[in-house]
Amino acid sequence: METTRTLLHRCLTQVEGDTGLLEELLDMLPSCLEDLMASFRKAVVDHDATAAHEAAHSVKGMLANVGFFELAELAYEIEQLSKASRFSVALERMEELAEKTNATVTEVRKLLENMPCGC
Amino acid sequence: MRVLIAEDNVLTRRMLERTFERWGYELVSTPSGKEALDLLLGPDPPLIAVVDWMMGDLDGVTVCRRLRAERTEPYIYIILVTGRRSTADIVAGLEAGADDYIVKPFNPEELRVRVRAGERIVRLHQELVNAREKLRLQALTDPLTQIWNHKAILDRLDSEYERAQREGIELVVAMMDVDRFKQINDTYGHQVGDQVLVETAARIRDVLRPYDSVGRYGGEEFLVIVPCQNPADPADIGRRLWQRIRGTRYKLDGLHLRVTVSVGLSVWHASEDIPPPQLVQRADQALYYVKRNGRDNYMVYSHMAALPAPANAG
Repeated sequence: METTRTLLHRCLTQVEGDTGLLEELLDMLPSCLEDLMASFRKAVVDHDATAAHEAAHSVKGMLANVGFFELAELAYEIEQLSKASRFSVALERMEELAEKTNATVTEVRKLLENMPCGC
Repeated sequence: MRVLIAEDNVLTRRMLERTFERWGYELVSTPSGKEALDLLLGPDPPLIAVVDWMMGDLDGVTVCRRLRAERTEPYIYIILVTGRRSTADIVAGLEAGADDYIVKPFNPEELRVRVRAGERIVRLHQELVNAREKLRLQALTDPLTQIWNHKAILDRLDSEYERAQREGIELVVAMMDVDRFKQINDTYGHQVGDQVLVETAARIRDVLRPYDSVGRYGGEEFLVIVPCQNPADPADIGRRLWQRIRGTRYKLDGLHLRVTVSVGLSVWHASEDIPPPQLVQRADQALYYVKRNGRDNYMVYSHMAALPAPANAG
């Protein structure tokens, strides 16, 4: 398990040190995730493996682009579960992923806010 | 250089937008594959496109395939952004027409160098297109006078003739010959003769509208094509061409030369079945008439019948 500081460092690498952009992305992330969760939940209700897989795939790409690689790995597992039509497990994991993501966003943002200038 | 970003995930799109802005690119971005394709097929498209593979309405691979099928120029360099890592997927993306791909999560440094590679390709392609266009123009232009050459002016005549047939308009063809050109060459030298031709071409262009055409038909012969929306008065066109040449002396290297031309004209009316070569032939016959009657004049082919037979002067 990586530390929040390591994670912040990676996130900053992804945005080439642009802290303003990182703040903006962290602000956007929960609502973007919620939109994709809604699509995912609907796909699960419809037993639509393709739509569930696509929603999980989008979550994975989004998390990875921000630098949340470990969370993206979880999204990849959900992608595979969706592909295999294992909807209930996939949904359970997705809810866990959402919680972890929101918690991680809060931690990273706090660290970012307290980061001394020039770091 | 303008870059298109097509990415349906709002967060990833924002990240790409800001990243490209930071790198100094002008941006167009869209969440839609369909809109991306419309932009790329539209006028003045961005020359680099960063396209997400998976988009709701139209996926990136289809965008690539349709763009390549429907547009060859200007060349648009496409980078597919994908979460897919398998060789089969990458091959499919490149075969669809993508130039490159980058796997999510993309490393900004890697993306930047890939975009730069794209810029180089786009610039090289533009240079090739410009060079080709220059060569094409060279092949159609008379190097001395910078007007159409023999082949090009006859091609223009064919296309103007087709257009006149389609639109039901009239076409005036004028054949012009610089009078006693051999004497100019013999008296003042070929360099002066060349300058006379250059000045004559420039004066003819002065008389014409931008959509009329003039070409160097032969040594000192010029062919002029004038499409006319309204019923044409070929004699008026002939007079203006003739007058523009003889009206003022040519000032060439300290010489003040009086140059005249003989002009023969023919007209094609919408209802007539006269092919382009015959139009040229008729203008040539009218020109011949003028030359046999003392040169330095103009004549319309259809007016010749009403005139006495030409004298036998050469």
